[in-house]
Amino acid sequence: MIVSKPAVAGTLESNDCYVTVLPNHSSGIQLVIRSIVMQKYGHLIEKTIREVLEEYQIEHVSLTLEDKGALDFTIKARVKTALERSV
Amino acid sequence: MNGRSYLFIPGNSAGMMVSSFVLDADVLIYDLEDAVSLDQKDSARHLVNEAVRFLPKRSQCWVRVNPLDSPYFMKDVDALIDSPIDAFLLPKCDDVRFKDMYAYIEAAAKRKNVHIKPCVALIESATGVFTLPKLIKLNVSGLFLGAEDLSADMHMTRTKGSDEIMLARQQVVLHARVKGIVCIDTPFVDVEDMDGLQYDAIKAKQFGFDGKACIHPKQVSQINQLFGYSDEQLQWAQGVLDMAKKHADVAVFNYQGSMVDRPILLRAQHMVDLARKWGLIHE
Repeated sequence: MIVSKPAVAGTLESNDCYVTVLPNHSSGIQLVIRSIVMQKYGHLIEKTIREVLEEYQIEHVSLTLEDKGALDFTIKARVKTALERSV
Repeated sequence: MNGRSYLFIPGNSAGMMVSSFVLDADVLIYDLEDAVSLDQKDSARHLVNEAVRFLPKRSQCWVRVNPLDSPYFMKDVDALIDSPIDAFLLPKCDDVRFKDMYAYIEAAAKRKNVHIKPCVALIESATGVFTLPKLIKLNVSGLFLGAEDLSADMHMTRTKGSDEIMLARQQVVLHARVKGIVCIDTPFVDVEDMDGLQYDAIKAKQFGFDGKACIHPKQVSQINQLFGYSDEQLQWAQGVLDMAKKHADVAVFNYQGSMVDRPILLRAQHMVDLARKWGLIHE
């Protein structure tokens, strides 16, 4: 799957996250994660995002995730929605 | 499928979804229909699909999908057909619409090689009420009255006394009993009016409904209490069952001065079974 246009998903409400994806045709996967629990859970958030990118066979994307305490299922859902909106 | 409280959770609210599983509602209904704006249908579908596979399960979990004539119905079903939800709640049902929705769900289940989920019909139109005799001949697993849409369709004015929906309530309960399936009453929409909720729920129980929809978590405990059993009722039911064991060789016996025959024994057993399921009786 190729990310061909900017797209967003999610909210900045508590327990949610806001995901932005931008096309990036040759620079691989660029992730920016902002979270108040970055130190403790940042690696898990990144792992979840990368799993979804792998599922969608994304090789190039710029993805920013603004975390407001989202659980794993919410992160997955919001990333999937943003990716599907970007094609 | 019996429950007392059926709590609607907006399908695109991550926060409410996270807190929903610690609430005491017997059934959680993740809503993909009215509670979700058109531009968030895709987002809600993903969120519900991930949530039902991830969150610990304490209650039954149903999903209200979008109507058959919307561009979302098929996508909703395709996404959730192999998920661990307990039932689909199908909106705007009459006999024809239910048949068509059921046929699609059945085909989707076959395609993914999974068992078909039970399908509960939301009765919220004049045609829905009118075609109940035909509807219960189909594979419907429950009837759910939706009085707000019904009132709009019937040009009725909704009142707190709910006299205007008496016929619909009676029809829904009557047909659920004929079919032997669960029937759930419409939500009480004024979430600040707890006395009104009490009155409305008592009335629904008198009509014979098994449970009632909730649109706010604070309605749950009151509805659980009203549609559940008191300690005295459960003591009576347990007493009847204990006595029945001692009188296994007779069809009729006396308990606390009253005659107990098979229908009363079955009612006592039904009460104890439900109470156990709801956590009112611990082994």
